[in-house]
Amino acid sequence: MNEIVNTGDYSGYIALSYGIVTVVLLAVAVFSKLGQQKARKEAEALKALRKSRVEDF
Amino acid sequence: MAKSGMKTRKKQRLLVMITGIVVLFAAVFLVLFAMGKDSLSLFLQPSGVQERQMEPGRHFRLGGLVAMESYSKAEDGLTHQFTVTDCVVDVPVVFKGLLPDLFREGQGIVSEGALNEDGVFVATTVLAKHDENYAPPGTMPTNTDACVHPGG
Amino acid sequence: MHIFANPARFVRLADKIMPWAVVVFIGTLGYGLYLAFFDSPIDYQQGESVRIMYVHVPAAWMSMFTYMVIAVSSFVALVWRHPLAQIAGKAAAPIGAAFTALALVTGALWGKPMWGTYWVWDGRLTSVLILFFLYLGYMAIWQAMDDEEKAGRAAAILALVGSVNIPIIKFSVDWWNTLHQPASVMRLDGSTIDGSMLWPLFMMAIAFQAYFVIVFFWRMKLEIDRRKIAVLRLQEVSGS
Repeated sequence: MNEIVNTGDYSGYIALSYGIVTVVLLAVAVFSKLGQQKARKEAEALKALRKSRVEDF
Repeated sequence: MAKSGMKTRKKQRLLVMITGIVVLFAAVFLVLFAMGKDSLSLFLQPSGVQERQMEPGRHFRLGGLVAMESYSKAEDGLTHQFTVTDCVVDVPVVFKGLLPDLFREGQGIVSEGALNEDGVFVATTVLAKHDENYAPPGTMPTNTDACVHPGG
Repeated sequence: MHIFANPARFVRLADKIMPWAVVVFIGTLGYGLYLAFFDSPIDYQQGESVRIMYVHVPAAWMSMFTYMVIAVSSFVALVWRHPLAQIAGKAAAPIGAAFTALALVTGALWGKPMWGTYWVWDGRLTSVLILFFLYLGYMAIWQAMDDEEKAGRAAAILALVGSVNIPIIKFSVDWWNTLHQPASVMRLDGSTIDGSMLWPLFMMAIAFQAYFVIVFFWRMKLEIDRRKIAVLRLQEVSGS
């Protein structure tokens, strides 16, 4: 296996690779975080509702 | 009483699960090895081609190293000739088209095509294989024989 | 095991680890990207295209690591009916599917200029594609079945059956002739990657691992809250 350095321009492939990795990982992170915040708010709201009902009695 | 019942049930589940996994793994690996190296491999090496006495015109993938000093380009600039070897058997290859960037003598390749009547492999595609080495330029020893791995 | 049995305790532990994971993620990602682009040599054959390796290999490692997380938690969930283990697999699956897809896509983008093709049906590429479908199947089971308990059990069984694919991925390049190269880092006779390229690779691998921890904790908390909501709604309906 002898040394011949490929001098081709691979910047398109490299940019596309890093670009897709960034977009996909960012999307998974954002959806996860937003989902978590929404679920937390809903759980807290339900808990508060329940508490107020109990106090009404 | 109830508690010890829970425990035996958990133990039972554990036993069933472990047995199931062991049997599954054994079955899958037995099937894979029964199918053999050839049927699950991407390509045949030159020795395999000779062993199976592939008849001319039959389509298959040939893989191996490009023998040193075997490469030549025809005058049209598009027809490439080289020898693929597994260090036991040599197969001459002719290919018309663009070679991938990693193609060079001493490099592994995988090529699709068929043998012609003269025992020359007429390739329709040539893919270059990369080996496991990653190094900056000027650090790898040069080799003059494709079959002798430099430094080991 | 009991430390993790309690969801509240798990959330407290996760909240404690989270800032550290974020610091590690930002630090290793920044340093790793700097090394990958500005302070690592080109390859003696691949030239500049070697830089794709710094995201491809960590993504591939994480695709298998995440699957192992799902397989182990599935096992624990099936045997011990451990509530946190039941949701751990569900929380991890989308992250693992993303890593697997990225390993496939970045591999194709490297393969086109180097091999001469985006895709080939060799042992390694095919087994990783199967891994991706296992993730999709696992997530589909969770989605398709209304009864969470039953869905969890069915998905866990699929995950365990599919775990047979992990050693196949790892050893495919040794057992069969493939276009994909053999292992470079995880091999018995030492790494065949030059030190100047190992550093950016390890930095990026740690960054990917920290990313997993961060997003996994978010998704665990999401699942814990979803179960809480379901219980509260049920109590609401039954009027207790």
